[in-house]
Amino acid sequence: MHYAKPLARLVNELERLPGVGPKSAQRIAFHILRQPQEQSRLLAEAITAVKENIRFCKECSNFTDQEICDICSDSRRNHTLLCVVAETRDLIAMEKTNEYRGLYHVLQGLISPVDNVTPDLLKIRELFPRVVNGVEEVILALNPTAEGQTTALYLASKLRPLGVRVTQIAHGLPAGGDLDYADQATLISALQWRREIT
Amino acid sequence: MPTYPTQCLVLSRRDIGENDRCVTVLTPEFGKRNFVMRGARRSGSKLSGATEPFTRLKVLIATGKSLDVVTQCEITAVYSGLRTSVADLAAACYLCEVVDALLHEHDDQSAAAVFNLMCHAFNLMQQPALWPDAVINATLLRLVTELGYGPRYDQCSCCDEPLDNGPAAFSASNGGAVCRVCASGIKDAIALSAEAVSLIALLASAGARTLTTICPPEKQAALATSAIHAYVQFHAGRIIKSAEFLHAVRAGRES
Ligand SMILES: [Zn+2]
Ligand SMILES: [Zn+2]
Repeated sequence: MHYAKPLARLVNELERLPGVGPKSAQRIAFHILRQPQEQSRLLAEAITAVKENIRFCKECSNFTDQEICDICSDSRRNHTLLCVVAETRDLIAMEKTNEYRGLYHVLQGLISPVDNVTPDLLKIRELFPRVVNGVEEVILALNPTAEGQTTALYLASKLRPLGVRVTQIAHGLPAGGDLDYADQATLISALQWRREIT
Repeated sequence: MPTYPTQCLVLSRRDIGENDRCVTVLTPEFGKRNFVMRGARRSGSKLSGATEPFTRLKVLIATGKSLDVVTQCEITAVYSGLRTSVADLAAACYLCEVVDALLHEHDDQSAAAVFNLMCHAFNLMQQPALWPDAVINATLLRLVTELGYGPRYDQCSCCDEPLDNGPAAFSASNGGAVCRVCASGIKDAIALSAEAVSLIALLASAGARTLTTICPPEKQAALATSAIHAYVQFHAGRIIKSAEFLHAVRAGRES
């Protein structure tokens, strides 16, 4: 490329970001170049601050800027209910429902042997002491994918001996969906997760 | 853009761009291919279920300049029986990784045979078996044979002498069983009893019924499995990453 060196460096770094191709990297780089000095300083500071101040919550392994995150330290929440999610963005999605008032546990990924992600690399070890400490039900809210299912089955086999109730969120048709448009995998799963109507 | 229809079996997937996925598949006509599924990561996309590994599809492909893009897609089998235990998922994942590593793109000589072999394996793996690794081992042996480098069992693969006194070891780099004399000089030789070598030979030709009912002694079974794994890994030319997890799950010490 024919960029000046510092610009090439920025484009290079941006290209490493997820979902950013060479074209987008170039566009963002030129945008940063044109914006006021102050604006780009704020961006640079925000990036540094996030790396310096954000860590894992000692309880749930969610990202937090405290020792224990706001959710874990909230006494109004149900501390006997634990919802296991793969990523913080899944936790945020669950929170947006305004339905769930228990605690969370963030695995920071899913078991994926092909990508060398084995159970020991995830926040699984941290889950067990929490479960034996007054938790009555663990809800597994993981993606309906091969990795999600591997992780769910793995966790269930490890949690059941601890005498805790282990449940998994239903997999099936999306709200407002059309039955005849659903693919075979979704329909099979919807059938498997059916329940009696009362 | 010209289009063509094909069946395919999804081996793996990876995210590309903002909303798209690329799947690595086996087809009966063209062997291993990469297909792009546009929008497969959008929630509610009809394609997202179709990008799952060990799913069989009927697709219509548009051939672009550099990429083959899925324009129509129907799931024809999901092998849901493979998704009910960690061990089955780990095994299916292992098989997919090996096949992906052994095959080269556009290498379509034995495409139909490999495709059928894998569909058959996934069907069989959903059935209860006394020795769960039998189907995988048998599939791997047939796969390397189909690709033209199946192991030899009847003669020493090093000196060509008949193995009258029984084989002593198995060597991936030499191409199968080796005699006592040759075994000592071969670096990757895995010491195997004659029974374990016969077990490997049996796996290579046994029918579905045998594969689900065979129940060899544990030590023999473990030796045959590691010899077959070493054999395919040698031909794949790279480490099969999911092997360790499968091994740990089978041994009940998975973390
Ligand atoms: Zn927390
Ligand atoms: Zn010899």
